[in-house]
Amino acid sequence: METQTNTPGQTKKSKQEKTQPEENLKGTFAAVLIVGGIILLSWFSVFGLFLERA
Amino acid sequence: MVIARKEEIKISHAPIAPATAKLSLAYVWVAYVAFGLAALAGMLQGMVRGGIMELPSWTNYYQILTAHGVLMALIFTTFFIVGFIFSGVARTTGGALHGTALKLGWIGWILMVVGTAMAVVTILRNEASVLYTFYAPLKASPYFYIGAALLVVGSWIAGISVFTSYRKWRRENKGQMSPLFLFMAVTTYIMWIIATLPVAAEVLFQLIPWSLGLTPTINVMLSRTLFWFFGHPLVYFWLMPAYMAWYVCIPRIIGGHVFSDSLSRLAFILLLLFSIPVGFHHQLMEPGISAGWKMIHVTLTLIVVIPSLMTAFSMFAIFETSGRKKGGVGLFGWFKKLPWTDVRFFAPFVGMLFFIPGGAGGIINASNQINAVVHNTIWVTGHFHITVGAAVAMTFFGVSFWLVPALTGRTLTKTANRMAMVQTVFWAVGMFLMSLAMHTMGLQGAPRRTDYTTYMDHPLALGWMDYQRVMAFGGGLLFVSAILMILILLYLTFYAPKGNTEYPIGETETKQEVPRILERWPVWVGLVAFLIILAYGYPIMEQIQHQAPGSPPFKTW
Ligand code: HEM
Ligand SMILES: [Cu+2]
Repeated sequence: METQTNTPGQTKKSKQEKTQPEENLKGTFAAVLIVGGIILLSWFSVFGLFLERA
Repeated sequence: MVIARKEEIKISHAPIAPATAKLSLAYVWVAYVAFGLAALAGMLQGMVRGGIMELPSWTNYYQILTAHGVLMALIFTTFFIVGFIFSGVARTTGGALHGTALKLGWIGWILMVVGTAMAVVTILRNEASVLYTFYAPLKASPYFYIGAALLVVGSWIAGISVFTSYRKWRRENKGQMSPLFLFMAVTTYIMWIIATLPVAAEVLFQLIPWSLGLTPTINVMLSRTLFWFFGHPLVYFWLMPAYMAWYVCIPRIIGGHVFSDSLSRLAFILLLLFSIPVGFHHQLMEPGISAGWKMIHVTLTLIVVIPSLMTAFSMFAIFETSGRKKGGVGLFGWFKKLPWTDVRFFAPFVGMLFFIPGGAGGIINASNQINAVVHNTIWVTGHFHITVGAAVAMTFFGVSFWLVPALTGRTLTKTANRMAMVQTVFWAVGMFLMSLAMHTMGLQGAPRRTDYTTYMDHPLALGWMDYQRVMAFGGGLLFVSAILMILILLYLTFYAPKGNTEYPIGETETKQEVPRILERWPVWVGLVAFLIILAYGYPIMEQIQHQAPGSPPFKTW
């Protein structure tokens, strides 16, 4: 049940249609890259502090 | 499909049967009473450290700090989580817990309440100012430790209750993959029960006999290792229920779909595997553990980046697909289409934003060398206020805004929603200011867990004072927000108009095949055991065999 849609008004897709059309996830891709960038930026700035104080 | 329809019809009356709703509500309310007291203590800590006020002579900084840590990190979180999971398990298995599960649920509640009362009373009597980590050789009253043990045992019984519901569901739905929420609940409790075994051993075999005076000294190294065996998975015990709300409830709230059933389950399995064998990343400064073992734990720790980024990806994907369906165009046009005025979405969303710097900070903390820059500074306090205090807490607030009315058969009115938006903004701004100040001060070396001091007017410490005041101001905003939160919950429990509130459970857009292996528990529990033995077997054996001289108890307050 959990894996099936039951929202009214939605077209029910049969099993062989499992391969759905490629969704546009460009924004998602950009967003995770930004998150990755934030991680790297903060890591290297504290690593810089470490080197400065070492 | 027919079954699913029928379920929908039943749901439109009441999402959760009354007996189960009562149980869940009982847990949630204990959580918020603890939360209110803890918020008061937190606000006072900020004011004291900022030099704005002094505590009356009948209490002291470390007493209220213990109260804050215990009530927030151990009581508020655990009670809320257990209550929320019960409701969700009921909701996804037909609307009610069966008889045995319900009974076990109440037994767990009673044990947890008794344990909480014991811990709180000893703290209030100033017999347990040992902070929420209860590190030896600081010694609390034995009743404090017994209370902690009861809290843990109560949560196990709640977990067993969820396991019985799961078994019943499996029996009645042979060959089917369990509902996503139920699967995640089971994963969370498996992780929790394994992780709490060593801390239970620490409390039962080390701390209680020692605090009763039956054993003169304690193996400090071992006690700290057993504590952090539990201490890190503890943070995942907070996070996984928040992720459950993110993966399962949020998609429904924003009118979208669960992005990928398999990905969600795999993320949880990875969290189960890699949240336990990593505790040494909290002990990187400890001389009694060799660098090689620390490296193994650090490596295993960093693997958690994978399920975390999987989660980030899923959330953005949920937002983007649903935003695009509503007509969002361009690279980020979908972003504007999200339901920004619906607090059920807005509060957890802001929590997710906090989790981005939170996760980045976690990688910094866990890196062996740069841990030296932040270890025991107030940076760490800033870190866990944006992770548990913002990301997790704001998700729990967001859940409460629909869960409480769903349990009481009332509705979240427009006005209540607006008040909740205000509450969210206060909490977010307060946390932002407080934790930014904490992070900045920490990088300059300011220690955590310290009463007001200027270190004999040392210029470096005087330079922290402005940040201390920003921290105090943030704490003030947070306290206002906490009061608002409790008022809103009182309204939703007793006064809001009667009506049907949806219990949002999202689904995938199309039927998705999920690899069976994800639900083969012996495989995963076996792997967990393997990783634990790999990471902890030898070090713990060594700590038992080559004991340093033990320590007598100390009472420093
Ligand atoms: C009203 C909101 C809050 C305020 C004003 C606040 C303030 C503070 C302050 C000022 C400290 C630390 C001081 C020190 O190290 O000297 C602290 C510590 C702590 N807070 Fe909060 N906090 C709040 C909410 C939370 C929440 C929601 C959680 C977790 C769910 C939390 C968990 C903790 C923990 C675990 C500690 C560490 C205690 C220790 O070091 O033993 N706080 N808080
Ligand atoms: Cu950790």
